[in-house]
Amino acid sequence: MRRRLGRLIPLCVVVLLMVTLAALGAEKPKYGGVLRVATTTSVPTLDPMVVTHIATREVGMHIFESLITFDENFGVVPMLAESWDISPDGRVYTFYLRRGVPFHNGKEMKAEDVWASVVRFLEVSPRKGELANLEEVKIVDDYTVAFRLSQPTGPFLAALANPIAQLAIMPREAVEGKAARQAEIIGTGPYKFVEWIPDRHVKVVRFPEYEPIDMPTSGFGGYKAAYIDEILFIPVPEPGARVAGLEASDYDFADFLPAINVPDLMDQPGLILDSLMPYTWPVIYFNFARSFGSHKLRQAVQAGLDLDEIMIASSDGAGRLDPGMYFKEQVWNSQVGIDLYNQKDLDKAKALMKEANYAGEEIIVVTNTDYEYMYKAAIVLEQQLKKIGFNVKLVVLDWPGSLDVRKDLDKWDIFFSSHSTRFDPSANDFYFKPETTFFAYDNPEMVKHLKQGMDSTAFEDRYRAYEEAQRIFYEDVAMIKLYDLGIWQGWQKYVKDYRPWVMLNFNSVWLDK
Amino acid sequence: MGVYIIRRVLGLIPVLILVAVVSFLLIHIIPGDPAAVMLGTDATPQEVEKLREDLGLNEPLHVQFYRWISRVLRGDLGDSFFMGRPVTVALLERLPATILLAVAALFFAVLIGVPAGIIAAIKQNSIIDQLVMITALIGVSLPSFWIGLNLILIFSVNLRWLPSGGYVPLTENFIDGLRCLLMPAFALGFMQAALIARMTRSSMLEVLRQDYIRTARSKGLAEQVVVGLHALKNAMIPILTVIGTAFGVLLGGAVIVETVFAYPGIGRLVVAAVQRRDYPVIQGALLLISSIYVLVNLLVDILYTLIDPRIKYN
Repeated sequence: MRRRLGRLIPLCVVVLLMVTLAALGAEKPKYGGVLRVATTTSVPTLDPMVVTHIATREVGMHIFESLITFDENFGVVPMLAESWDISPDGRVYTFYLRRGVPFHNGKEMKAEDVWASVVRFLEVSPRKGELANLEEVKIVDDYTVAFRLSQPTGPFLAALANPIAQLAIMPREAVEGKAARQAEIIGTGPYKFVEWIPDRHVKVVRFPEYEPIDMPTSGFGGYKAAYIDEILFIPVPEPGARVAGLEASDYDFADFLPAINVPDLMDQPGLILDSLMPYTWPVIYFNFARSFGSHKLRQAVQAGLDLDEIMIASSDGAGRLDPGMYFKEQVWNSQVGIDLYNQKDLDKAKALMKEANYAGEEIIVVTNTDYEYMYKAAIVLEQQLKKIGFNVKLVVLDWPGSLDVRKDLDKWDIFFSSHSTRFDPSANDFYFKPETTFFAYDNPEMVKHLKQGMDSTAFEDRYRAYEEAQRIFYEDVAMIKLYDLGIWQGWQKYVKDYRPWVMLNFNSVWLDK
Repeated sequence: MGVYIIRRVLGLIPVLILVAVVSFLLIHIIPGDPAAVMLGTDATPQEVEKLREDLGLNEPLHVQFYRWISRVLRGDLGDSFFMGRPVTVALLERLPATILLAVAALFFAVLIGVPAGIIAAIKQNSIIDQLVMITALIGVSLPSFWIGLNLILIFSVNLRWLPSGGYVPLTENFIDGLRCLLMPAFALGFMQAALIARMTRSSMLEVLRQDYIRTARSKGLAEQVVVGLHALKNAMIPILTVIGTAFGVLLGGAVIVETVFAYPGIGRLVVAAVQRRDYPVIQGALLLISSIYVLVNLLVDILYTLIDPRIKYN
């Protein structure tokens, strides 16, 4: 018996090895094919620097690259720059460019292209304020560029890496003297731009000469490859049409699927459904210029809300609770304030309301129907506030209408919105600075910590500063984070190696058909 | 006739001015700030204010209107806030798709509506008549988006015969273009087919009771000749009116159908523009659709004279 087993074990090992090898062989990426992607909206322009629109940045993700980018923990990693130095005083950043990186027009990417791209970014980008401390960009040699800042600036690297209104490195001749939306669509990415027919599609094709970075793939960074011959980004604004198109195999991939369709789609053998989690966090703002100027009253809401209930009713199964102002996946995530998050303490809420001397003043809650999760969350919140004892009036508008109301501090008390991924914590600063806030928030201690985060360059110092800001966020009840929300995406089984992360990204994706 | 046409064309000017004023006022009355929508929630109030200033939205309404209308009179519909491109270009890019859809929908509507109405009239009070009228009633009642979604479910998802959406110009690939056009055109045209069927039926019934029809029959003329030549021609005036109106309605109705079928026409552009409060696009599109509508009506009036020589425009 022992001898038979002794013979069987090596046999099993060999069989297992063969199976493993066969499996590995089957998963070897193939070149070719057309990927038809149903997106939610049309691109307003493909000029990557000039708009923050999601469609522009998702298509741009395949065409353009920056000096540096974000890995999956949202740390900054090299992309077109192979490395960088920071001077001891924290004011000069010197980037060393990778050699032999071609643009889609065949020209090699060099320092003059980086210089021209930065100059144009400073002229046309809505994010140019993030480089307000930039005094000079200097070409040191063909492959070295130095950025001199007026003072150490914590979010400087994140500003260069941010894919929103991206500081894409483009050929000098494609950007020099080009007004907003007039740049030639030429980058260094795995795919090159071919055509844009408004409302019909954007077509990009494989760039055979693409030069990937020699690093493991992580987030937006590391090794990327273009396996697919052609990608078509097709705007399909109607969610039902995206679902039907995916089921009918008219699309290989569909973004932002309605949660109500997900169970049925999951039953279909040819499809894969997954949630891009996290995508955003729904939030309510308090208007500090009206009743919620009272700290006690804000605390009453904070104490009384049942966020589980709100999440279940509005996230359609794609939600999770977390107190962090930055997602769990981000290096900036902190659990500070967790004691004040999702308390579900009705008695405490009522007591705080009494202490606040609330006399039944009308509380106007503004939400919208364009984002269904905000509408559904508002319905539940209305009931919960009534249970605490608030006199609530729910105002439902479309998104533009609600934004219009938000401008007038006499017209609302609670406003529904959501916060997408912040690539750097400083992106939230404007909410809490008296000169830029829209809900009359004012706390000098908060401003002090935000300034520390802005002026420090060491990660640990910045982390501490923003953790303190989060502590004040909860103690002040500056606003209330509801939960983390994901979105559903679906694709055909033959679409391989797609991984939902932050935004659409088909670099290194291939088709097995 | 020539004088009449010139008079009618001149008469269009006040109509279009009225459309321009009403569309401008309506869209500006609806709450919503294009600058806030464009910049999103992460913009500071200062940034929103600056964009408002840049777009000229802080000027008094009458100044904004004057600036817009003076550009329109020079043939310039302004620039889209969102796309940063001339509205005229954006509309012209999408006009062929929308016209094609409306014409195809009208084709369906006439193809179904007129024969159905004639048959119902000939077979008045029969089961066929009742069937046609019930179908017409259903057709009038069902919204085009519902018909569209069901067509997608049947012909795209289950049978996989037709694409669920999209657009291919017929000049690029005729077969694919036709496949993309069939369902949206049917969804859009079905309601008009029902209306045309009802109008054809009642108009035919009225004519079929006339003495000259009885005379034609007593002369021993074949029923096809009586119905097709004598009755239908005289019943055509109200039918033609409905068809003319239908074309305008189809242009407007395309707003929903184009969205459901991801069809890149003017209707979808308008929906997106309303969602973004892209004022120049909305105003330009409304002006264009209104112009086409009144021109089609003028064309119908002229066609009356061809059908009925007794009609003179002097």
